[in-house]
Amino acid sequence: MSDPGLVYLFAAFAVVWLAIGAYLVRLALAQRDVDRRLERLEAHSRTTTGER
Amino acid sequence: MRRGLLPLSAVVAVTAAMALALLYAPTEALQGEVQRIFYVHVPSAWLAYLAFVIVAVASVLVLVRDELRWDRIAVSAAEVGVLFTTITLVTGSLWGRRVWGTWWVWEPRLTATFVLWLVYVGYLLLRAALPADRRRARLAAVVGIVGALDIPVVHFAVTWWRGQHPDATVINPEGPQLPASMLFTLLVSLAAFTLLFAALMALRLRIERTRGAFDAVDTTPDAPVRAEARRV
Repeated sequence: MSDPGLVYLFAAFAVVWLAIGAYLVRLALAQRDVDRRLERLEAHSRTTTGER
Repeated sequence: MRRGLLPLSAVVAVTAAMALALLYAPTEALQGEVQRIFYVHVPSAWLAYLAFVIVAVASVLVLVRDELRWDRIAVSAAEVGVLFTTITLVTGSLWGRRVWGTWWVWEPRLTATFVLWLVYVGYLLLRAALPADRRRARLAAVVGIVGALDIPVVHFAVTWWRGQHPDATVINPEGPQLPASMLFTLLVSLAAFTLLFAALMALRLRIERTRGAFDAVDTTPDAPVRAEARRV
């Protein structure tokens, strides 16, 4: 006879993975934002150096 | 390749720990299979404690040393702590629904944990609302320190007040109240989740340090911050 608690158990494990996955996506987006800022800085630096 | 090693190891470890919880740990006689939530719920709670202790210590150092690198550690730990507290609350709610017949009850430990979650979500919202400067770091530090006062309330709530949440079965004055196989599974799970905690902290802290370095040199017109940040 299957245990009805199994649904709650697997839901809990799914929640753990979803939460971790969502946070990793958030970190990836933050990293992309940092990378874009670096690109802007480098472009600005090149522009500024060129003007001199 | 080396950067990804810690996160990858953590994911593998957590997967292995969950497999152990499902396949090796014995079935609890009264609650049945749902009790296996214990092996993710308890480590998540402990790591939330650890995260907020780190926030508090780093926050004290922000106020005492006035160095923004401690602020970066505090915010990184706060985010990871909110993640683990969320996991604790949601897995606990699923467990309670099955065992108590309700998703939530305003009993001491659950309420104190919810307050802990609210305080640190508030910490993050406060930071998001303010410009990234020393004033923000100091204000956030005060919240980070005050919030940590709730940690002993959460932990000892089951001792100080009557409630539905079970008493501590591991950190117990009479020693762990678990069979050896359950204790072993719990400790493996705790080690795996701790590795995950370290990996997430490292990833978050690297982003925060890079932002701090940018703030010190970014003179572009659309720079987000006019900061007095020192480089790490």
